[in-house]
Amino acid sequence: MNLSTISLLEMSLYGGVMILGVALLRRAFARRMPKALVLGLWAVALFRLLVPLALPSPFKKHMLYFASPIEDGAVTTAAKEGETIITALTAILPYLWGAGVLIALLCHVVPYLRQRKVFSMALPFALNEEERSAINHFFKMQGIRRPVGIYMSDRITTPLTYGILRPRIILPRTQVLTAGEFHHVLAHECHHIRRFDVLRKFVVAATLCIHWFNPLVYVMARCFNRDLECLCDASVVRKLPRKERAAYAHTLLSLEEKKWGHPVLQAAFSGCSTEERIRHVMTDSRPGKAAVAVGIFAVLAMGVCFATGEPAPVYYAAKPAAIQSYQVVQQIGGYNTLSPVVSASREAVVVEGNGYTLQAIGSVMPTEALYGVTAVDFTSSSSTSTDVQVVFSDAQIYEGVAMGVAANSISFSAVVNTEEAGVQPVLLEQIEVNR
Amino acid sequence: MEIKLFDSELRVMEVLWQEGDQPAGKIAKRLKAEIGWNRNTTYTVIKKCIEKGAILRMEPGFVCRAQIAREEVQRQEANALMDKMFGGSLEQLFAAMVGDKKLSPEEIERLRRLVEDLDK
Repeated sequence: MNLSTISLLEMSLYGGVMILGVALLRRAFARRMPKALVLGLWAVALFRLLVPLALPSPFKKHMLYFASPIEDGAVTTAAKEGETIITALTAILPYLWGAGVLIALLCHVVPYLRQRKVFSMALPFALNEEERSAINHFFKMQGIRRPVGIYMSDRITTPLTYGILRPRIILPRTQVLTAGEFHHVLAHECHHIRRFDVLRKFVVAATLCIHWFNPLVYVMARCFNRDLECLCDASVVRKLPRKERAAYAHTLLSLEEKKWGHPVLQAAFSGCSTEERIRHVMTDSRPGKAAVAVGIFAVLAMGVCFATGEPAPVYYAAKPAAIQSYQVVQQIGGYNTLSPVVSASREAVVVEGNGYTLQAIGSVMPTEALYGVTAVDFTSSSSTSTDVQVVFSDAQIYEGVAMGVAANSISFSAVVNTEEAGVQPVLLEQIEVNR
Repeated sequence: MEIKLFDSELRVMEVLWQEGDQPAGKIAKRLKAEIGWNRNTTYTVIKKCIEKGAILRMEPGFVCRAQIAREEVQRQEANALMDKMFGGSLEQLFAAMVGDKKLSPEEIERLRRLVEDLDK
């Protein structure tokens, strides 16, 4: 089973379609689909967006192709024109994309660094020994092994968590929390820390930078953040009796404040659509079996449809074939002899496979039987991988085929090996086939 | 002169109010031990204080001197609180502060003298 690479555009397109699908499902099933499942669906979409691989699938599928089929022998100007337009476009696109990535990165990184600077100026939250150890114990019970710092700052408006290796919770000094609210906030942030949510947000942010041109990825980012918050709420509220759920909803309300800065890279308590969260908390009922079934089916279906696929054949204009043959006098083992005539045909032909393939066919036809020819070695190299085969040989002709997978150029050489003592292999021909 | 200081800046001022003039490096070391700030953070906050006019930088050696006294900041904050929460009424602020706290005879005496001074 071999994996094939797919291009960024393809990743973005399929990722976009998956995002649409997940968003629709999410809306259709709303509170009946557990948020953990929704986040699983987002994870599949993220995989498609970030991992440039496609597995071969039993179902034949058509992926995008970038040129139209060319008839055999119709090496016309039309073909050449199409080629130049395409090559011109494909030449600029990577640079455009790169520029976009840089700008997107700046837009993410600069505000983030500024925020980190402010966060670092937070002061330790006043806790006595007993409270501190109770909190540490609570975190430990939840399975968090990293040390968690609790701080307070007058520069933020909602409680938040940042940091991956050494997570820190910062509470706003300007809002005095009651004991109950304090516990709710801690429990909520605790789940963020336990799930490494800050790291997940980084991944989504990276995806945003890479796929800056795809508007659907922004939709996903927004939904993803909301779903993260709802999942933490659900985790907190799951084991609480109904009365305490109302208290938690009250906490959400009373902490509803203006969002702090850039919402993407830290996990804020009440940044995202508080109303939605309160609704989820108060009506969190048993997840519908239908919803779960549909969700699991969606994960599998998306995985099969969009993570796998064999691309359709792609055709390119073939360069005019040129046959070349020459004779060189070689000295082999002390015997002068006419070198074999080497003829090589150059063809860029596509065979079904992974995107496109260059194929070079070379044949070596000795005009005179060389003394003790043991083998003709064909070697090849291309910009990606190559596969060389000797397809035919007898004393008269040695033919080799080299294929470069997804290659832009392929070089192909034939080396004659002889048994004669002390005779070095002689390189007879080296050809380059360019797409 | 109204200087508005954030919590982080007040924390640095606290060091100067307690210890007097200090070189910045010493402040950084102390705050690292007390609240875990790294050197860059402390220096950033000190620079902010200098910009706001709360700290004077003296050479050689980047020695910091407080330009505003703790009492002055207390007064400004108390006035702000009074305006914000007590409609500018000192009496209400005072009543809230004293509330149901039991005052010792010495404290009552001192307060009485304070009020008398105000009356003059």
